[in-house]
Amino acid sequence: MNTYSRILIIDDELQIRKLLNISLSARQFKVIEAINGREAISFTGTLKPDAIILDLGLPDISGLEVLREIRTFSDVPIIILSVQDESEVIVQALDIGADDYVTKPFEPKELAARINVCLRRTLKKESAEVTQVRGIRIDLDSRLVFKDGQEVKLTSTEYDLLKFFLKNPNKILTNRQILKEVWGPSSVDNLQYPRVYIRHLRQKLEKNPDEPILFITESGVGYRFKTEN
Amino acid sequence: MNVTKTDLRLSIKRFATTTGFLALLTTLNYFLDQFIDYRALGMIYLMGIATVSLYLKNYNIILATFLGAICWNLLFIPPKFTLTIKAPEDWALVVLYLVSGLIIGTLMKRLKEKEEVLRAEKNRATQLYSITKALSSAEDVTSLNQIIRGEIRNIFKCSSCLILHEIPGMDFHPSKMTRVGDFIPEMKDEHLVIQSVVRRLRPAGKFTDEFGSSKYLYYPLIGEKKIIGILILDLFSHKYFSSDDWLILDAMARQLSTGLLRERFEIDLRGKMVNEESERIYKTLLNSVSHEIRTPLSAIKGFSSALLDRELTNAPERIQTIAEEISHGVERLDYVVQNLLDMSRLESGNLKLKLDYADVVETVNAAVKKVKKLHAEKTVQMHAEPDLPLIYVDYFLIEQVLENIIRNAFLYTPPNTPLEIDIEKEEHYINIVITDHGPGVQSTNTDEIFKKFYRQRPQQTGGLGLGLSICKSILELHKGYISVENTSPRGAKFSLKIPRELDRELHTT
Repeated sequence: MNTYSRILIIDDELQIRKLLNISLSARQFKVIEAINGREAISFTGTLKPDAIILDLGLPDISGLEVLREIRTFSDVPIIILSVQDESEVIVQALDIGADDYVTKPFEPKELAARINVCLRRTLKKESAEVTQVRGIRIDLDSRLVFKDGQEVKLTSTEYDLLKFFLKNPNKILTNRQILKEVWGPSSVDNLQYPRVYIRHLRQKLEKNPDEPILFITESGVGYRFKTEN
Repeated sequence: MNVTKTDLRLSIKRFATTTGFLALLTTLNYFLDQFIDYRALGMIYLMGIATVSLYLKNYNIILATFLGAICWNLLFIPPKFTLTIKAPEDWALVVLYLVSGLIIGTLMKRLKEKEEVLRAEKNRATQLYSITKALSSAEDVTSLNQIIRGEIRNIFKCSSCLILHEIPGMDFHPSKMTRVGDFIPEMKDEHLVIQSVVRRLRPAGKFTDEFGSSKYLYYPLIGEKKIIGILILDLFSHKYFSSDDWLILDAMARQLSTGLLRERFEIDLRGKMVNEESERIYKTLLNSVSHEIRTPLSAIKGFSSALLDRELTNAPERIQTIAEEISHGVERLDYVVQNLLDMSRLESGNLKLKLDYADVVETVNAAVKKVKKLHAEKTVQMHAEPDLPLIYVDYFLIEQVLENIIRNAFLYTPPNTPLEIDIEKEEHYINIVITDHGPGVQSTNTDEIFKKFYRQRPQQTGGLGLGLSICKSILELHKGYISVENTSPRGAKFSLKIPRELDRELHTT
């Protein structure tokens, strides 16, 4: 599926670019390199890569600025690859529109897997919304939810939340993004809402609500709905 | 004792003045008696009393009034030389005279009292002004204490001491108290007095209703409704403590408390500022350390897991590349760790030079070779003067200095611009000049870049900002020095001066 996917790597460190080049080329990606923010923005516009790997500490403009700029004209999946591991920075990047966040040092295999998830998601967005995953089926017409064939009663907020997760499988969703989508833009500061409602969803849909495998907490950042192991 | 004696002497003096003045008036009247009516002489006595009362106290005025009446009656009112008065109008005159005299006396007394109050107020104001002025010149708590104790000695004529409390609001405990002052109170149960002051936030000891038998007066210093200290006055020889004294003492205590609080506040503020500054440095350091360590670590981790990846290792030339990259990563990491270790060694003063003779050109070449491993694309042009003498240095450290400078120059210069290294001999130094064609030093004070953690455009080049400051320290250990200047049109020129003959003493230190 990703045989011809083209990945734009934006990093000012030669060694990191070499590493990504070697490990991604071997996995059938075609790699394009950019060494600063301006190059990155212009390459995104002209070469139209299928996904972008973006370092935050760039020599000319900050990675977050690059991200913001790219988002004004493109929905291309962007994965942040940075040494910065503070949750505030991660949340900021995700809120601006990054699709995922990987901290250095990283495992190239893991990064490749994340790229694949992003690429699949864009493909699916163009076809249909996920309605069936890991034993959960959602009937969009009748607003009914089934777990292992049994109907599960959800409140309308819980249903909206679940729908939002199904729309964005395997993607980290920040609390702000969840609040904005499910509760509306005026509720973005009620950080306790997602925690409470995700607990409800876990109780109703997880096999073991205390060890969730579907609704995963990304601590300090938000949640991720995992559709595969 | 002294006080009463002086008082008595003063009373006698005043009494003598009064009688003397009346004798003078009587003599004058005796003379005037020949020319004017005896009735008018009473008026002269009255005038005299009015004059006297400007200077004398209440009972002296009464005394003067009665003495005047007696003299007038005895010497001038007929029948003369008797204390009897015949004419009823003379009776009326004498009575009028007495009443007027007493009224003048009373009025004068009131006036005097008012004047005294005003004078006392003025005094107090002057004293308070002098205290405030003295206190405002105090630069720290120690001089503040000294000034206050000096003022107390001036105003109350007694010695004093201070108990200061380190932690305001907490119980006064001997272990948390500092004492300053002329004496240490000799008191058996002093802690009870202190406890009382602390509990009631009111003075105790002499002239108060708590522990009144004590020799000392304990006055609380209160700041922000909490006790911050106690002022102790040795009032052993004082017989009384007037309401004015209390007021002045209170004002002093307030001034002192304010001063102490201000001092404490300033110390807190200074501490806070130092904390903020060190936190900022710490954060910057942590960020750059984490960047500088994690980037090579990422490379090492990534490339080594690539080695384990069957998909990647099927091509032998790729294995070669991967191994080289791992080695580069390790070198970069080693460089960071080396810098951190050097810095801490230089800071602790534990760095000992291992001096030996070395060839300058060889040393520079070795450094260039090391740096070029990571920057193969860069070129270096070296010009060395012929017949350079050997230098007597710690080879390893000097090589490291050169490595740092060259690496730094490479990081800041655009590709395809060569780095120029010139080695010259001067009278006392071997001068190694390293010129790049990068952006130059942007700070107006070019020496700034030798400061610890200084980084020009930190986002662009990373680094810890330690390299140049380490270079400076190492050269200084060698009695040499480093300087930098900007060249035109663009570029930076580093000059490293290494002494040709290193003092023998350096060998031993």
